[in-house]
Amino acid sequence: MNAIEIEKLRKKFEDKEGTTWALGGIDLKIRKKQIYGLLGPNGAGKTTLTFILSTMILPTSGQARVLGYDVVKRGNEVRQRSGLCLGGTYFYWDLNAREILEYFGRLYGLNKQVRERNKNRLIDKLGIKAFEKKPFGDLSTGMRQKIAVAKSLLNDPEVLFLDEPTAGLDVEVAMDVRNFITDMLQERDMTVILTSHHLQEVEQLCKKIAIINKGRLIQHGDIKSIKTGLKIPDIIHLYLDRYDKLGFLENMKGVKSHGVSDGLFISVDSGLNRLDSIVRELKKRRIGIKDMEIKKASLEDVFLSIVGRKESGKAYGKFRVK
Amino acid sequence: MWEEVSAHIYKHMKIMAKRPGELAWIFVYPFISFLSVGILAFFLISEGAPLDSMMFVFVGVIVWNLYGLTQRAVTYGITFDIWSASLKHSFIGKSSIRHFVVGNALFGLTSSMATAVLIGIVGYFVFGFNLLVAGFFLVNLFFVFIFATAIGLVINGLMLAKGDKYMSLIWMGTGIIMIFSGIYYPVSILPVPMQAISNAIPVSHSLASLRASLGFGQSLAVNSLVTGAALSLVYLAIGAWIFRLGLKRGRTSGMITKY
Repeated sequence: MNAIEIEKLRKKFEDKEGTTWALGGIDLKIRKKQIYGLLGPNGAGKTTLTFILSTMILPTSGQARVLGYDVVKRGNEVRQRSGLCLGGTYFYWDLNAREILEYFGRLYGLNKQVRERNKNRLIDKLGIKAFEKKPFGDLSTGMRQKIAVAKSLLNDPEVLFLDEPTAGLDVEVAMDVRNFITDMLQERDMTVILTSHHLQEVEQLCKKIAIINKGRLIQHGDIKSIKTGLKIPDIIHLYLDRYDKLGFLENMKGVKSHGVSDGLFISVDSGLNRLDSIVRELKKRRIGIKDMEIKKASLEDVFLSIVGRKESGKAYGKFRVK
Repeated sequence: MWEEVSAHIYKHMKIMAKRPGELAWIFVYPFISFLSVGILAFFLISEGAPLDSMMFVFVGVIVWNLYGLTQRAVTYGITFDIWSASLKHSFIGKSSIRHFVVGNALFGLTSSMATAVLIGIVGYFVFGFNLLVAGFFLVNLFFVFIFATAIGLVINGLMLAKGDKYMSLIWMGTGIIMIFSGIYYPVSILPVPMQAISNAIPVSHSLASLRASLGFGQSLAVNSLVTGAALSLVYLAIGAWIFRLGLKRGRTSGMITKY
């Protein structure tokens, strides 16, 4: 059984301005026991999809099942087995972490013993102990987010929805949260659906992703396979002692484009395969190499390529693709 | 079931403990309104009003506070969530509408009973008023509680469907009930069109029944009890339906995710 199964899922929102289709027909299956990334630009429909799968909102048409339970007809069963953590979450300002977790633990229907055990374990593991007695309103963003993560795990969910869990967090706290997620996955059988704008974070945590844009599923699968399939070029970055006599690059095999801006950038089909011939040609022309690096295609390049923007220019500032 | 119900009571208790102002709603404002009405009645009696007019208004004040505190507790179940922008987390796990209603209404009942006891003690020792004489007809208070829960659910349903712009109904609603239910006067003195509205409100009948049991219009006690009870149960069914519909609308429109 898959963790998530989505068939022709559509969602519209209606207001005074008219109708907006947030999801235009998504089909997707996500297997169990992994961290699966959901990517897309702002307004793509990622959060809408997360909200539907976590039963917070109802779809317009189509079907979605979490652990085999229909999100509309068997919403209770889905909620019992899943958790939802949103970035920038707020809780009751006057209550402290322990009280907030106690409240949600009761809402989950957990008995006193299980509540205490889960609360204590999560408070310990997430480093909440240092501020557990402070009112929520007095806490920093990072502290609040840790409580949000703890709340989403109180019921030992089989599926966890993390929607921008590290949004607005400083580097250290974001790292804590990421490490906690990976540790957690090793400890228990869980499927995590991660929505994030931090592509490095997604690349670090996920093997498989889905990319959504304007309510449609554009691409999904293994990150490596997607990169290979898209044939996104590697970038060779060279610092030279001079930048003339570079015309040989125009017709060189495997070179897609090149430009000079804070060094020489060459876009090639494979950095490792082409480097030798480029260095040989530079030596022939007595052009010295001061420094070099090869940048492999990243998830950011994949993302920008798929949502339709030129990856090189964006990644390297003034450098323009030829 | 009890864990989910107790969550709502726990939330109210904790917020009340952290905000002394919340305690004032239970122990201060009702006491002040009772005392001021009692002194007013004293004055009116000294000016020639009948002696049982004090009993008449005291019953109204007790019922009024019971209604207000219960409706407030039920609506604040959602209002606290809206104010703290945590509404989207409220219906999680197995927690259902049933748990929400029972939990918040129970808190309302407990707090309003606490108030009623306080007022009852003050009424007895300061003004010689004993509500317990009503005996069996005290069951009318239960149906006032049911009606208050129902109205609370209607307001909650509207807030879930349309957002916080309906929050003002929490306070407007109690005002409307006060005018039409005969809290401080018999509904018979209202213009006929207003009496028609009064007759549709269970509190009018519950009040009439309680007052009759204390010697104010004997013949109405049982009839009014039955009418008030039946109406309040009908309103409860309607309130529950509107709440359920509101939650569904909120989930369809995405309103619930905005808070």
